[in-house]
Amino acid sequence: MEPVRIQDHLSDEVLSTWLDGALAEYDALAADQHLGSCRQCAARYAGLRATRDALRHLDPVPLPRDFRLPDDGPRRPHIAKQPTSLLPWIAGRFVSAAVTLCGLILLALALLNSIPAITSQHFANVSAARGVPAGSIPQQASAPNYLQTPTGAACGSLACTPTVADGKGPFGSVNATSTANPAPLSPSPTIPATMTPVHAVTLDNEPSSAMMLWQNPLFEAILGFLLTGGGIGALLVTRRR
Amino acid sequence: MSSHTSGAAIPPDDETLAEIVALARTGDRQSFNVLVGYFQGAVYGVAVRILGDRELAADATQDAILSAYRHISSYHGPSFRLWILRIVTNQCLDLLRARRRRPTVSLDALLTPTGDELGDAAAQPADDTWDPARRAEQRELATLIQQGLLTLPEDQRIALVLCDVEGLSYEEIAVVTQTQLGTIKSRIARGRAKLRDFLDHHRELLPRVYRRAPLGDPPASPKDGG
Repeated sequence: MEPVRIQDHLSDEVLSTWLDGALAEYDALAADQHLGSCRQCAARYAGLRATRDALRHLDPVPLPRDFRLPDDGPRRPHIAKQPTSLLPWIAGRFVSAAVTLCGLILLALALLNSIPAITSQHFANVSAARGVPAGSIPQQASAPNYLQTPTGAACGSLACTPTVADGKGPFGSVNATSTANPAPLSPSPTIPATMTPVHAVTLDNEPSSAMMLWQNPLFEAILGFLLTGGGIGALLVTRRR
Repeated sequence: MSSHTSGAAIPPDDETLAEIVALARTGDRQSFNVLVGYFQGAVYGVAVRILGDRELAADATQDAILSAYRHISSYHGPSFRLWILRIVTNQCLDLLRARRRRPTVSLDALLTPTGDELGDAAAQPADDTWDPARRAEQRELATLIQQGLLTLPEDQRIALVLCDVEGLSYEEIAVVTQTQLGTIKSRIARGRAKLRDFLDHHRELLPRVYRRAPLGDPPASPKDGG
């Protein structure tokens, strides 16, 4: 509110505030002096005062009923409220976290399983480009992914042949010689009796369709995504309020 | 404690009131009902003046009292009266917003002439000195004032009712409405000016004693007590 000046007409706000005795002392003096000489402001002030008095002298409105609460009613809700147990919340968080972890593991497996498939396909293409007869390529190289165990993938690669020929086992490390001079691949490498490669067993026993499905990286990836998403969603839902 | 038809009991001093509030905060329903007995008249009166409808005001009052009972543990002062007035003011604002969204006309309002419900108090003999002519005039004035109040914007109406009907100070109104002091001054001034213009415009409907032109009135100092 601007300072009151004697020569100016007083605003309704100044008049109303002065009426309530809430005007600052200096402004009140100025308003008082102005009202003594200005009939227009005096009339507006008188109207405001009559309005306030009319409101003040209104009779109280009679109560239609007693609003007191009944004595036998329920107690206050927050008093009767029982403390909630944390056990369901903890269990829910635990299950959600476990589901999320499973999903992430499945995603990781899907990723790992997709790598041998890619590499085996790559070396099959390389062998074909070098004129290696199709029969010389190990059967595992062209087999479906579910047969591509670590050894299977390696058998299609350069690392398998020298190590098997040397009788050192399929998991021998790749050496520079073998990499530099790739020897023709044996169609049926001899496997020492002391070793039982997984792929050999797999070839002998035809895998079930359920097994094929479980070892399919695409299926694992989809399931992993679903579990991860569901687990994270459940974690968010079970946030403590 | 007075009967519910004659308004509310007079609240005790602050110390006694604080003791009753402390008891009510522990969940003591009887203590809470004592507080309701003190303030239900003010709560209902404010609701009626803001809403202009007895039934709606009764609903707002009931809801406000229930809400106060449920949340009394969150009350930390400084004044129980201001606290419960704030609750009922918010209830009234909610009801007004709801009524704006779904406008309805109550059967009670159709059966009763506009604003007459607020003149009921004037229609009843309050004491032995009851003068029928004077009471009739007061009833007319109360009806017209209520009509004027309902023409004001809600914020100005609330501020004016709290100031001039309930007699709260600017600071107390700022607490109830949770608004700045300057805003309160401005709302009261604008509301008063609009109501003054409304009453001036309907001067022919005012009681005889109010019909004289205000121009001849000499300005009185606020220290006169108005």
